[in-house]
Amino acid sequence: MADSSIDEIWNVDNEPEVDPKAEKQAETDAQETEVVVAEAVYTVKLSEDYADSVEADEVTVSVANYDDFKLVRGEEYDVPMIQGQLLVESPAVEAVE
Amino acid sequence: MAGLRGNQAFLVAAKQSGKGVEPTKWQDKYFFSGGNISPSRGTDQLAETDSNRNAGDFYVTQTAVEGSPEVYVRDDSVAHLLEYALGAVAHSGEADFTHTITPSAALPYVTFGKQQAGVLFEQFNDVKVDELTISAGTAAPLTASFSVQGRSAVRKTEEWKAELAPPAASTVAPLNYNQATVKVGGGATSLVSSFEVTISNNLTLQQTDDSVPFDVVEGTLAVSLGFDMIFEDLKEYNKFHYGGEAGTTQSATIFTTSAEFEFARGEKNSLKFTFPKIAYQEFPVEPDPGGGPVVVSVRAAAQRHTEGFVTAVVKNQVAT
Repeated sequence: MADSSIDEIWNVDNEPEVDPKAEKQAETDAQETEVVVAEAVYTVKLSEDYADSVEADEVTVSVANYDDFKLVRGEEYDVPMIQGQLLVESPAVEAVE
Repeated sequence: MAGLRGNQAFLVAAKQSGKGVEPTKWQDKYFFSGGNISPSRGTDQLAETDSNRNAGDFYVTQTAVEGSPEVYVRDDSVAHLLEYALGAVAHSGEADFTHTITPSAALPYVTFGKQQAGVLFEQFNDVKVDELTISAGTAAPLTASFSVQGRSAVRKTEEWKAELAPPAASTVAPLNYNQATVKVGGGATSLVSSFEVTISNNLTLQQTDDSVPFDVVEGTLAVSLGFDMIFEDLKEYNKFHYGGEAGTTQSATIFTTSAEFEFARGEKNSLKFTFPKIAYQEFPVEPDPGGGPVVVSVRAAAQRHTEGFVTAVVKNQVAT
């Protein structure tokens, strides 16, 4: 086998131009800033029963790793669905058939 | 020089908007009633046949965050702890707010900060709550003990400032078991003398090509309930073993019921747990040579139900 091949295999005189650790960190950072893309959406509304129970016409829903969304009585919204299920099993949130 | 005092310490916490995203403001400041949170360091040892009788050298396998801090339960901050452990919350109200906390498919990443003795300032990033236990014995304040797993720790050289300056600690009294109202099977009962709910997320710390774990991932959610109940009659015992209040033969089907525990220091400040469906797992009735009254230590687990697995409602004067 030619020396050049050995050099290539063992990286002799072929030091990488980019520090692999820094490169890996950059990849990790890129992954961390990726926006989670929802698989689909559900149409939901504020549950009338819940709205009555808390005596409020609007409710703000916070779900892990997603932006808060506000539900106003009588209005419908599209919210993300992940892992095949409604984002949240909250009595405030009612799926629209 | 005397050692630094152990009782000078606090914990601050804030929900992150996503993995790797530091919060811009702390949500709450807690004092420890027990436990700790700290960087963790896994090590292992080399072992090879090198004819050397001296034990092999150590190396680092993982750097992460772990701990089980315990704090008193106050209505102005417990909603956040429950949100960290369950994942979703619905906020409503204007001056007086209602927060309805329920399970969601994922848990939020949380950043914790710890100050100890005025010299140690550590920030723990990308942390999730593995297990949250809220409990109280007879006449005792409620405590929240939460075990956590996280990806990384950073030591700060000074306390957090500006937007991240730690907020004032709550001055309201912790909730107490003497403020409890209990319903079992839909009916009010005064026979229950203690309470313990445990929310278990069965987290996995995923490690790939670095000592810093890649992620913290939720497993199956399990919720267990425990309480001590004065053994006044056979009804619940019969339901558990014999299929009904008047049952006489052992039942092959699981008995389920519902339970509700509310702790209120007024109409506008409270914590309520609703378990639409629970299955008793233990209902032990033990003889006592000392002749004391029989108290049953009931253990139950939340079951799937159309009205939800478990719901916590917190009323306070904190908007979100």
